[in-house]
Amino acid sequence: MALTLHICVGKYPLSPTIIPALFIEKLSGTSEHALEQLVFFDIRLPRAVMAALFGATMGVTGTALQSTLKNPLVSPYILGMSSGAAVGAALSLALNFGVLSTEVLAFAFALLAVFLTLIISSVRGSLSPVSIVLAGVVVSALFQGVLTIIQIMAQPENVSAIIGWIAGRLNTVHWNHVLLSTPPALIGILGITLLRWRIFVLSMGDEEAKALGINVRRERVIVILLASLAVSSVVAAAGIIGWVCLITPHLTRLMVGSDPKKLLPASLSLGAALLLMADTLAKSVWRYEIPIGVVTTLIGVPLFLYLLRRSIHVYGGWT
Amino acid sequence: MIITVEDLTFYYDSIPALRNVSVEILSGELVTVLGPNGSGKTTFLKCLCRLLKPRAGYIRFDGQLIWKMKPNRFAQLVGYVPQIHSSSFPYRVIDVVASGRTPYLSTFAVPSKKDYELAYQALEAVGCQELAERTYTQLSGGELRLVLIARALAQQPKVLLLDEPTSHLDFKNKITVMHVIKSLVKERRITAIVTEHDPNIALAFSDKVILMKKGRIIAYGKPDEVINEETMKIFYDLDVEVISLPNSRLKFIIPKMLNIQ
Repeated sequence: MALTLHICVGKYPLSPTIIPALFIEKLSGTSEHALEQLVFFDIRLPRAVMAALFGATMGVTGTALQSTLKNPLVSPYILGMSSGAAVGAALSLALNFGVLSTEVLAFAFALLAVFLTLIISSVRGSLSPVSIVLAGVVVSALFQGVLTIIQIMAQPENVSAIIGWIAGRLNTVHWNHVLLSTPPALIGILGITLLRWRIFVLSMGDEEAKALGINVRRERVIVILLASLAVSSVVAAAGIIGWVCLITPHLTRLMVGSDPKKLLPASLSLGAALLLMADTLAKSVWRYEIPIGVVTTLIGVPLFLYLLRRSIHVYGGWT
Repeated sequence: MIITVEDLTFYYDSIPALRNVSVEILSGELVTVLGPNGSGKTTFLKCLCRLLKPRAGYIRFDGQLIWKMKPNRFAQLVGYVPQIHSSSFPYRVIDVVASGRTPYLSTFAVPSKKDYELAYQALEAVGCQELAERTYTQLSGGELRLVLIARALAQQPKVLLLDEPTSHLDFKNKITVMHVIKSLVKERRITAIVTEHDPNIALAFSDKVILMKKGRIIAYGKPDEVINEETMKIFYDLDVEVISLPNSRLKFIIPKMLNIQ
């Protein structure tokens, strides 16, 4: 439903009833509604698919990482991915590398940041949840610094491109982006969903998971790598859209409880729906398109505070 | 299952916590490890459940070296009940207990209906079946301890290792928890190794008592042989009196300094 609404709303409104006809026309090669076809297949559909993919990825990875790192305040970005991706994209934009290299570099640097985080936390901290989060904060700070240097040295017109990229956007999404992002994102999402029981057991704490026969270090790293693969690929295409990854896990827990079998699948669909709705707002509430990252932040912050207030008493050790 | 410990030695960095500990524990017994803080009893327990890897020495279960076993296989033999448990997420009790089935599941599997039945039976065995649907972050200390014992039972282990199961519990819950452990040992012929601070609990419930001090085993044997005026004097530097109740095998020790009027 969120998908249909998302597709139909925009500068050029489409009626939901016309969509089946458009598919038939596309398949049969006729072009009775040429303009509608163009709008639907080349603009609305890739954008909607990307929004859904982004939301689903963020929902699932956010929930999985919160469990794996035993911390309800963790988001994928805390591992350094967002700043890593920003540096990659900024490098490409500042040096005018050209089409798709921005996405590729953002992807590569996001993964690089996660690897750095894991390496730092494995040296002294033996990959404990706290050491991973701390290492992630350090790596984020490092990449933020590099990003600032790039922005200072770049040409002014490139700086605004960099800022635009970081804010996150879905209006420039093409099928190319979707095709590039989908395989790694699906691998990550599928892997995490299959591992959902292990992820639940990991959230009980290292000693207890070990006592239940789990190789804690190995499985935690696998979950983090799967999450990073998925997140890096969607962030590379759409920029750093925040808050979905933090809101979705809490909202999902509120809706389906903490049932370890349902939690991850539910966070997947909820994440997708949330981002589709946010993007519908982004392109419809004002004459100009609002960057989607701004919308998710403006909605996300108060919603997060509300959710935290509602559920703070159920988080052990918080009372 | 017979547990054989030979020359077990463990260091935290350069501080010795266990020195040449050797002991043999027979199956179907409740063994209490008694000792003051820092005596090495928790370290001993954690070595037994492979949470700590000893510097030297061997631990064998029925002759098999525990560090040679696969993690899954080991978790099917040994259930561990931690002293402190903190979770950040409000899971249902029954899901927590079902996590005890993890060593029987393949990597991508979730517990089946049968696994949930076994989890429910484990809850029944500790008398907590009515907690199944509750949120376990909202349980009381005593309930939480019993639920964690149920989770270990769901592993269907031959050995239960419990780290201070009576700590931070009220008077009645202490007795309840120890009573549950004792009856599990008797009914299922499993071995339970329990660390404890209170000599009277050790006297009342255990089949054998291990006295530990400064990383060594000082005494090992039947409770009333190990806990008496002499050993308590050496052990805690405390004068005690052993009281036997008439018409009962129960014995208690009372510190003499309580006599100050």
